[in-house]
Amino acid sequence: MQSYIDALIQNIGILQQVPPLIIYTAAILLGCAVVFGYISVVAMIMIYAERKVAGHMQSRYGPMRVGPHGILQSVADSIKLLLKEDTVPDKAHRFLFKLAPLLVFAGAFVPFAVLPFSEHLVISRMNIGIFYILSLAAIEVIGVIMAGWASGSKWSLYGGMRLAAQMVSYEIPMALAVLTVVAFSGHLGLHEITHAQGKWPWEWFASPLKSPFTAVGFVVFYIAGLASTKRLPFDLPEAESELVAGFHTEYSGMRFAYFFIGEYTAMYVVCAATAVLFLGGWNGPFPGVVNMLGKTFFLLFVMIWLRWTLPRLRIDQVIFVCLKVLLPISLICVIGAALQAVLF
Amino acid sequence: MRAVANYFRDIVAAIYTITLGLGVTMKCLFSKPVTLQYPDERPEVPDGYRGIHTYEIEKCIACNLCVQICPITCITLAYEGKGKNAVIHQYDIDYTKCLFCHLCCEVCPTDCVHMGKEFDLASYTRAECVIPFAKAAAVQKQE
Amino acid sequence: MQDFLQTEEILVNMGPQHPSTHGVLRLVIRTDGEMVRETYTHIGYLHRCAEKIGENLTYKQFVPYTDRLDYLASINNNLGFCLAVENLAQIEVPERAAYLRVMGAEMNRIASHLVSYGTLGMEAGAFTPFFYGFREREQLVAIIEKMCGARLTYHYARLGGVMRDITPEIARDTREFVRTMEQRWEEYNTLLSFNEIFIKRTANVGIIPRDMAIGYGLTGPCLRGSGVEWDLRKDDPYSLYERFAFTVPYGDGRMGTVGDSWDRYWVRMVEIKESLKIITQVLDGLPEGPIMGKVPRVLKLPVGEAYMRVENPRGELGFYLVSDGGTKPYRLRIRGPSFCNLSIMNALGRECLVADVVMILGSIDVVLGEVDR
Repeated sequence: MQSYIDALIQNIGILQQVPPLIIYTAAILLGCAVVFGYISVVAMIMIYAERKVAGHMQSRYGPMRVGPHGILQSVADSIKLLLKEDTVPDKAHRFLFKLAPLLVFAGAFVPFAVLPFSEHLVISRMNIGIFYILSLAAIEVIGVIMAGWASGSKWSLYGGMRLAAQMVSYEIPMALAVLTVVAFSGHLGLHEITHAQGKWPWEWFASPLKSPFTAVGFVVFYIAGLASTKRLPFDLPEAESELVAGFHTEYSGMRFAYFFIGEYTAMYVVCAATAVLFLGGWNGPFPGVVNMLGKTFFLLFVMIWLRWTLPRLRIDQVIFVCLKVLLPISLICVIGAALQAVLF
Repeated sequence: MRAVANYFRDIVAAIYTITLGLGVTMKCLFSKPVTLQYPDERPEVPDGYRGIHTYEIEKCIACNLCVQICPITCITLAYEGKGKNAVIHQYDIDYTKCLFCHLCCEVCPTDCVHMGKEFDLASYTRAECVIPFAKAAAVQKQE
Repeated sequence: MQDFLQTEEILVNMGPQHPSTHGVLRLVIRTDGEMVRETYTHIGYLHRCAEKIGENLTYKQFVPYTDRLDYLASINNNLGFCLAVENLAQIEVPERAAYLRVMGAEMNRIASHLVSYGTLGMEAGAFTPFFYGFREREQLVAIIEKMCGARLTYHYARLGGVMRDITPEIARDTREFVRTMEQRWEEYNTLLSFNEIFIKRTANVGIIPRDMAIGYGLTGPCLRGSGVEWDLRKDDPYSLYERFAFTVPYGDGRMGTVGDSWDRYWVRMVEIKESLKIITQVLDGLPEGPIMGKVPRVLKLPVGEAYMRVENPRGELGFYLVSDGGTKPYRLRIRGPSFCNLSIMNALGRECLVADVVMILGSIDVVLGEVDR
């Protein structure tokens, strides 16, 4: 991105008079605004898609009232959330209560700095891209525990604690699954990982033809991704039938919207990361952006599909699946992938 | 050994049954929804539906049987005279109380009160839920 | 160090406003982290004095009130009360009416079990079974709506007979429903019953051993789930149930231990199928004749008492009537199955996880309208 700005400064005379620091700051803010706008639109589309798909999977229509086939339902909902009264419970810790949604949102927002949409359409080509995404996802955990504790409600506290246990454990198999890919690409940058994969499906890391270990790693990464974004069958932190709404029970209005958008953004990030790591990113028969978005939205559809089919696990089973199923499998995959990368 | 076998059996069973379940929801995704878009599309109400009453004032002989049988006394009947010459001033049914049990219609000797197909009872005040059938009939007659 | 690391038990209110308490039940659970140490049930939020109302109304007038006890199985409730009154008053019920009562009761049993299927799925976190269950229930409710004109509080079985006769159209619809329901039943099992996650959630959870089930006076699917073969339709037949061939399912611990939540759930699922069989038999062998017996206009019961019990979808529903010879009962007592089944909740809801409490409550399947009456 910096190279583009530099080229821009060189080509346009007026910009040379302005100190570079101001131009860079302006560019960063502009980038943030663009990403924020993109996230909002994507979250709205996803919420609409989720409700519509859920409706049809359950023999009903889903939203139908606002606009043709209810396409403006998400817009109406966001206006409603913006206008709603913003309440803070009496027993809440006011500062942390207000800070938590911002942290959750920020944790979901920052990975966009390195997520590529195509070969050139990327904000920063960081050489530790995937490491950056994994580590920043941890901010969300702090935000959620903060929300759960600061709400001053027992059910919220349960939700926060469950999420902490769940996310911390699922980060391990997730990171190990990433390592299987890194063993082949030899690099942590998302560009280099994408370049290690070819145009066609059998050249992607998700295909057993390329390596059986990364293919299993793909499944492990996706399942761990489901868990870290609190999607069914791992949606214990907000388990409706047990905890009412989990950590965001006490939130309303805009703060609730932050959680909501944060959740959908996190889903998008996980799916985009899966697409880059295992499904060849922007490689494919179509122009780069189309490939990338197509893969991401397909993975998002699978997430929605799973959610409206499966029951939820119990907390001990969630940890069992992580530590006794995914962890050994991913360890075997890492060793296998390393051997394959060295020997073949 | 058995625990190890169970462990792998569970993993395989989980993947297999989840796939089958996904098939069921996918099949439903492409079938036609069964719900109605309610205020635009109305459900077809069968004959003999137990909705809001219809009342034929000219048939009523003010025998008071419906008032007596009503389990919750939601019918108010005021009249002068008896039998066919009765003049009915008031026949109110309070739908905040009504059980829709159909007993009043069954007991009526002249079949003057029936239950109709109307089921929409929403109103802004409680008073609007009391439907004055006799008055409505009088207004209709005047017109 | 010991003092520093001490943990505290929290007392949490589950309900009366909670998504999984089937109405207005309040559970107070004492938890240590995710573990539930003790559960206390608090009932009475929906108390409407049904028994006292019964003592102030004539027998005919009380029948619509029985709809509102277990509102998911109104025809079964009507049937129980009508049988009690008919027993005491020596009213003959025509054969056709008895057949139609059986048909209505079995339809209502299916409708009730479909709701139970959906809500248990919902409590396990799966939303779709709920909508599938209600989709088929809607088809069934449409048939009952043609039979008696109402969609929830049917008031179909009356003193001396039933409200209306069925038309050929209703018979055709019912046969079609039986066909679709048999297909959907398989779909339900694929989606929920044999889903590995659902099995893991329900198997070996909330185990009620045989003796404990009998000791707590459980009835219905909760008792049969524990492996006890006890069904009033077979063991103490009423309303000509002895003429129909059907089997009574009972829990065999297929997925875990006998008497766990999955067994109770499975008993309900199989009962749906058995009820379909009974409905087909009713339609095949429906005798001609009147649908209403001779009931005096002013019904006065002889001095005496009567107890009549019927097999509700949730268990044994009993009506105990004491008459002093007047038009109203001197005393009316209702033995609700949900109330007795719920009494085991305190014993089951200990040393388990929070999620288990929800599943146990769902698998006992109570209707609060009947618990509180």
